[in-house]
Amino acid sequence: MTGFSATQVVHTHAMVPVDLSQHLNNIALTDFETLSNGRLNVWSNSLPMETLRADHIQVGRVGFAGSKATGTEPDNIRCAGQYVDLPEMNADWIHILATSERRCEEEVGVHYTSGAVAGEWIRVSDFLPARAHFGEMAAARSFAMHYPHHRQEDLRGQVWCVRVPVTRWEAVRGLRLPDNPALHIFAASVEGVL
Amino acid sequence: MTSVDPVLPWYDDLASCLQIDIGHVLELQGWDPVQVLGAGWRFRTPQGPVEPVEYFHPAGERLQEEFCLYHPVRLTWHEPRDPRTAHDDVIDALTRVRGVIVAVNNFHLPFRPAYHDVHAAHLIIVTGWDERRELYRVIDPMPPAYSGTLPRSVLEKARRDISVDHKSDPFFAGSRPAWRWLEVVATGPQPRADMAWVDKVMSTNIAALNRPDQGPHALATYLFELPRRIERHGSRALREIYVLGWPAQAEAAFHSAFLYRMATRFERPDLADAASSVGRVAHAWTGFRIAAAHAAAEDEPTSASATARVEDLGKRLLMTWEQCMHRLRGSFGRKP
Repeated sequence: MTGFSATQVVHTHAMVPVDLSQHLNNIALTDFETLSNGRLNVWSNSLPMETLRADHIQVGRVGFAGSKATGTEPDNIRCAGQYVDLPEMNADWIHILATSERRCEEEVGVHYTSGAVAGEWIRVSDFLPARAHFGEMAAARSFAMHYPHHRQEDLRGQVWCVRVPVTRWEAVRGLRLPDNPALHIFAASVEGVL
Repeated sequence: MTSVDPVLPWYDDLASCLQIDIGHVLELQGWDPVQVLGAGWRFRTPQGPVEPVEYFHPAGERLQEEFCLYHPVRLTWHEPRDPRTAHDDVIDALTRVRGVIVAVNNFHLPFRPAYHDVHAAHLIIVTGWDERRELYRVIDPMPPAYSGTLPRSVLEKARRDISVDHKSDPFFAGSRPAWRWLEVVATGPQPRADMAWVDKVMSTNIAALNRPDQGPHALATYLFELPRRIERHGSRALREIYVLGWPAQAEAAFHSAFLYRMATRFERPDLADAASSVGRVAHAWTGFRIAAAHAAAEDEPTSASATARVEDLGKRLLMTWEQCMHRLRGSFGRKP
């Protein structure tokens, strides 16, 4: 049998956060005073603010910018086909911190500096009690569920860490989000191997 | 026992209390719930009104003709007229089966998140009755999941006071299913799913879903008529999409789970491919249902932009489903 012998190669991974601030359009994180502002689903559920850390969110080897949730200002993007600028860089993965009002499997468009666009899948499980249907990493689990009029202590919500592959050998430039109001995106980071 | 996670290993978050409770009652009798819930795959649009309850099914009284297919199961809805009969019926049924499914209003159940907050029509399972203490034993497998006792007075209130007309839950408002219960009876042993059985089930499903009043054809007709329906019924037409899409989405999800399981059991990658494709249909229901739900809740539910998005997501579901059928026909449709 011919072939390569196994060798160990060490690479440096750069994780660059994506600025989503101009697209935030939905409140999914609330505290006790702002319960009724939650709009994570049509029943106005939301997750307790402490579910996502404010300084830096680390999920396995993936890092994201912390959440700036206030309970009164939008803290996530509810997907409606927005185009998000990405840091221009050679990348391998686009990591996304997301959750869904029922699990969904949607197409995103990865835009490249040459002008090329490649459609890829994004798959996100439910924010209500559910398993990681698509094999995602659980990024955060809440200790309660917020309802417009009360806090339910025995129901946990969740946010998932999913990734979209970058298949072309050239720099990325942007990401076209799906048009699906079920899908909520809290943060994104582009990972490149140097 | 209260849990923060789904307690049933086969629980699917796309299912409603209808599929989960039927599956669990049969599981209590030793059946494989995924096989009974997921072997068949059908879809038909409702012929009559869409009752605003979580457990709505387009087949209505003829549930067993479209669900739990290829299995000897009898599914019968009962509507006793008074509390005495409602109680006696359940106790009598418990002498024959391990669990009886009853319709309740979540507003009155202390273990539901909607307790004293939101009126919502739901199903739970009664598994026992303690005559001396006047306590039912009940199971609610839907998160946050409960298994324990419930005083007769509480369950009776939840079964009686079930009219859902509270403005906090517009989706399930207006229904009055008092005292209703569902009898799930296995009339024979569960069939053994060998490879020949699975292939036969697949080709029968494909043939059924290809009929003009079934599957993607039925959805296409529904979508064609949708603009007129929205014009005529306003936000009610949008809310109905959410309700009628629930069993459709759940059943596609269980069919996918069933196929994945068979793929593993028989080491058949073609079944795993089919499972993935059917799963995509289940997931495509999300956008259509959720867009309709949000549009219905908007100040101007029938604005051109809101309804255009719903119709768009409906068409995408249809394309996903047609693609899936194309794939299934290629893999299984030609087999005898």
